[in-house]
Amino acid sequence: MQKSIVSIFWPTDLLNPVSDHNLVVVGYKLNSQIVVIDYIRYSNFKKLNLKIEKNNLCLEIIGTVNFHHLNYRNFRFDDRTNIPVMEAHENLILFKPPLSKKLEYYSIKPISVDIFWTVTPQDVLPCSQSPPNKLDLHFGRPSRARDLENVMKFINLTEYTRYKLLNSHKKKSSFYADTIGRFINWFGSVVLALYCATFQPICKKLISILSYPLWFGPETKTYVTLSTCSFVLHQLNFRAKQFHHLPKQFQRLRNSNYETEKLLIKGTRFSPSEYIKFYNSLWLILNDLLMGIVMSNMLSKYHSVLVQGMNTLILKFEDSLLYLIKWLMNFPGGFKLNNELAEFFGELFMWVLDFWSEYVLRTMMNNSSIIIRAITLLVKLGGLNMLIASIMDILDITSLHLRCFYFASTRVFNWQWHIIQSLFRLFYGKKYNILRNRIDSHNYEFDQLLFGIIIFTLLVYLLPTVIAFYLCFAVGRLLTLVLHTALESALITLNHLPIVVLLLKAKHKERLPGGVIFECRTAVNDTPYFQLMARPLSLKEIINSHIKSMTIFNLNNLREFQLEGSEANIKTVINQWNRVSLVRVLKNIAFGNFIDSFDYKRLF
Amino acid sequence: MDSDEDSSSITSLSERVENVKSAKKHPWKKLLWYKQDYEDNYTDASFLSQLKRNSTVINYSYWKLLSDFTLIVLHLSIIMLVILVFYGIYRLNWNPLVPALLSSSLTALGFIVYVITLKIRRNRLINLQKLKIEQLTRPTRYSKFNSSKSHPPSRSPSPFPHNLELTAKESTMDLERYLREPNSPDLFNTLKSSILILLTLLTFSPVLKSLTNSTASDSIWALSTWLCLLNVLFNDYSIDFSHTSRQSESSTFELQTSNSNLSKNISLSNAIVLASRLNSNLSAFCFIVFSIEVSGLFPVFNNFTRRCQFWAFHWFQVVAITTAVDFAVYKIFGVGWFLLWIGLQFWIMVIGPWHFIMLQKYKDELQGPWDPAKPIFKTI
Repeated sequence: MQKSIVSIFWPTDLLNPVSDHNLVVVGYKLNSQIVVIDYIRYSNFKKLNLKIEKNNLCLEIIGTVNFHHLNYRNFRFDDRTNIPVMEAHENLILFKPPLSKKLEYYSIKPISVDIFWTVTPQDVLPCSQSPPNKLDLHFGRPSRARDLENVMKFINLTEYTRYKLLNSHKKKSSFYADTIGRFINWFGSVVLALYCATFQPICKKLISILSYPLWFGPETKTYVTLSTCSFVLHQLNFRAKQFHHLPKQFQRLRNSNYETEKLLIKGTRFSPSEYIKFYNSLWLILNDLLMGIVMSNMLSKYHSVLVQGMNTLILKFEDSLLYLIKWLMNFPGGFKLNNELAEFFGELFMWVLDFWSEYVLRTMMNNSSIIIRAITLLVKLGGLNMLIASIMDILDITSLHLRCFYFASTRVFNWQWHIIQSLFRLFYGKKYNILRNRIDSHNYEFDQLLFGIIIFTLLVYLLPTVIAFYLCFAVGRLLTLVLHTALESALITLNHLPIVVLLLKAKHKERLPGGVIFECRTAVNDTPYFQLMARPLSLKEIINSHIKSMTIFNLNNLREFQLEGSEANIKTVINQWNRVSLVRVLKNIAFGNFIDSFDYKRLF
Repeated sequence: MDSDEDSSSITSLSERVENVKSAKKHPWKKLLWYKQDYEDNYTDASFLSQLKRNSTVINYSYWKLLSDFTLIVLHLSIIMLVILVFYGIYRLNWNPLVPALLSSSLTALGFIVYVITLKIRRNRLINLQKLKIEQLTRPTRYSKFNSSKSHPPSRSPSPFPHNLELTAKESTMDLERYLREPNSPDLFNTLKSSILILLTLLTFSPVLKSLTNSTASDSIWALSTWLCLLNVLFNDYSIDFSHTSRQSESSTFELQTSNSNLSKNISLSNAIVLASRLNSNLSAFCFIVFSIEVSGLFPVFNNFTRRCQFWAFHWFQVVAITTAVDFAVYKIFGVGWFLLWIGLQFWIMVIGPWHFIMLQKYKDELQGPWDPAKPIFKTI
């Protein structure tokens, strides 16, 4: 008679018991899968109440070892390989029981890495359900996958069940360990309460001050707050937010510790994301503060050198700008520009430059010692990120005039380019039809033609001069943008690196389950069997998951700055990130649009 | 039919039998939807019966072509005139006011002629329309009316016996052609726009003068040469409104007004490029005004004279301008350039039409039912 195929999951620590006692093999029976949990001595067996929990999970007797019983089958072990001998219709699958103390477990789906405090809304991600999954809704998922999920649930329960089994016949627990655990618990609650009472309100106040909407920018359709004005203030706001969310994360972590076992039985997916969240933010804060202390010591040690360096750097920057403008005024690179226009532009820019260096940079250079001392203090208290943020603030101030030049020349270029385009259409007798959104032929009057051609010829001849100025300042803007983006990415790395996950990946891969692998092996005596192994999360998956959660975090932050009605969606975030893509930047330069980096202060 | 028989001789016996049968069957029809007892590749003898060859070919007369080709010579002469005046101001230190004033006064004169002629023709049109309306409303009294007023419209449905002195003129210019003519321009608007343009040119002339200061002269000459060549190539010579109207004129009229702007634009930008080499604001301004009037307004005026069939006046313009330019070339550039210039003109005027007629014998145009149908527009 053909028997249906049965797979038996056998823990690796239960191979070939050396003892000669009569043992009973207990485990769970599912449809066609059997999960072996433990041996129990036959003598103890009778005292045992197999129904551990009420919710339809009952251990069953799978078989016997070393003795025969009428109702149950007897397992024999191969002497050489220590593997239980199976019948023809049985698959043997060995698994290493996961240690719940070390937070190991098996999972079919990869866990998500999320280090941010925001809750992931389901509707945000556009394609959370891929088409095949939608098909499954129609045809029903294959029962095998669901079975496997159940099996994984029971395998994850191994340790817990064993513990319960042990308790049920050995009613004894160490008083000592219990008290220590309670004390630690109590201590944690006290610290949490103190923290919530004192520190958290301060943080809340700070956040509400820093993110109070000052006014509404109609073009960008976002609110302007104090934290969007300066990187230092933004960093302060961010740190306050971190501290503010810390107790909540800690509470969640404790809850998840308590609930883990119950959750496991219920079958809800246990995820280490809570402890990853908490420890990650704690780690990042500590790391930052410690590095900040080291850095502040360095800064105060090299104080005079830094002051001098800053002054010479600013002077050199000004000189090079002046040199650049003078070069542009006198046939740059042998190009013959229009003298009059170049002179006009050059004098305009030089006037602004004089004004700027006289009133702003001079005061900055006079007070550079104070500025650096202030930065040192900030770094000491606020961490290494404060250094980067303050450098970016200073960079923004010192390159403001460069930005203005860029703005002006881009406006001129864009304007001129558009006029030339429409006048070129006039040149060959066409006109842009706004109503139909296309180019139609049009009979111009003679005076219209005359006007158009005069202005067209003028603008075409003046275009090279404008382009030369525009390109120079665009390149300048590009350079500051590159520096800006590099510093911003350093800031992102220091603030939002999923360092705990990466360390777990290096240290203990089983804590980051990304699926399971069944490996086919053959024992020494050529009996094939399977080995169940947890596939750790690959680096790519970690990064992808992190980027996904970061995008959602960005989206939530972006929404804070917007009106209620205009909801930003995931595309706006991606658009923001795409701003730094090379193709986009080059396209914007070519068409005379403004190039800008992503809005760090609003995204994070 | 020959090829059909050949193929049938090659085909097997059974098919031949079928062919014999088919001869008794219904004759082949050229209908795709109709199921017939013929093979798919069957070609009937009647297939090419509707083929027409050289249906649109006309026999050109040499003198007609010559008069058309003189328009090219006229255009070349106008371009040359601009160049000559530029050379005079730039090299020979002519007073720039002289050509500007001369051309301006001529333009003013031409404008007056233009306005008056258009006014007269408009009045005539109104009379014609009145006549037609009366004729339509009172058809019974038409004959009486006709004999008394003597203005019969040529497109009357039944040609009446035309009488009297004006018929020859009237027959060529019927109502529809009048209707297509532009209105006489509003004097105030013209004055306003011309003053506006003059003032803009005056204000822009310093900018224009210094526009290409840093560019080498050679590149400007090269640019100007290219612009002149493009100008010659893209010019719409509007040869087709002559007395022998051969195609439907309404379409050609529409075309020529929309296409003729490009060469004008090119000649204007050429003038601006050249003016930027001049060394004083006044000369730049004067030169641009001169070239606007010569290369922008004169072709409009010349078109107008030809459209109004003032042939004598047209020929006077052609002869006067070409001879003046020839003379100026001889005076300024010397005999060698003059001979070259005359040779070019001769080549275009005499050899060109002859060559064109020689080429007509190679024309082989097929027209048949497979061509897309040509829509026939009903006139008003």
